[in-house]
Amino acid sequence: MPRRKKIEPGTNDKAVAGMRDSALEFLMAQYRDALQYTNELKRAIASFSGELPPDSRYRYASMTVGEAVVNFLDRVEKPHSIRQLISELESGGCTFGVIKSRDEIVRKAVMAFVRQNKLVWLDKEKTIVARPSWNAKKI
Amino acid sequence: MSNERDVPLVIHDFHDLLSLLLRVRFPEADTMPYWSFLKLRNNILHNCDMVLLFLFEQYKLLPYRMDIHVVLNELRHDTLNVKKACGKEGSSIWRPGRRRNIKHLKALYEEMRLAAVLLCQGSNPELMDDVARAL
Repeated sequence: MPRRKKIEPGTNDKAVAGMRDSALEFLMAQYRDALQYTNELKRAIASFSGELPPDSRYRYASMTVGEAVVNFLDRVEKPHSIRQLISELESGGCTFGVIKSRDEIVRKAVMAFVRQNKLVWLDKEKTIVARPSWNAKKI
Repeated sequence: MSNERDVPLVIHDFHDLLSLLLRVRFPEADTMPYWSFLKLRNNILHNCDMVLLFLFEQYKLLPYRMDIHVVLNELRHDTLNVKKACGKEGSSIWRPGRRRNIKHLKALYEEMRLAAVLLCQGSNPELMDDVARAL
């Protein structure tokens, strides 16, 4: 049986540490580049004035949920349910995370805007949302 | 001689906030032993203080965005509600075997977590899940 070469103690550890460092360095470089790219994109987007057309897939991408809801209701001038608002925001590219559900996020945003008198609930069950400025005829 | 404690803690952005938050995990049941509750309460109060410090900076940084202001106010309201709910103590808290009802506090904390996620959605959408997890 061929004899195994004697490995000096610590050599293997050094190789593993080197691999770990280079992998981490690579990931950090990628992360830094991604951050830089994101910031550049944000700056470039901010340099444009006005909004995207109402049929764009990214019309709500840079808006907060509450702002997007107000924007949509102002455009259509008709009360909408939370479910309808969710599907509208999804089709407009609004960002939602994966941990909290869309329903929870939209409901919370609407509640915050209701507290500030920018939106109102039309029913007791708190499912239909409208703008407070709309008169009874419009609703 | 300057002491480190003399320097006020300033939380500029969500990255800073995330590094300072302590993980809070409520049990499934609506009640928990008082000793465990006191440990949990420390973490909750710490997180509330960090969120309020963060909001203090955000009010200065984003004075012109009305939509963000609405969410900032909501988060401040929810955080103060959580602090208030944590502070209520009975006189007989040290009775052995005593359990604390956390149903109300759990609901309030969840509201605060949601408001924080909503604020993050407006300024740093890539960190939404991190904020939900960290709180």
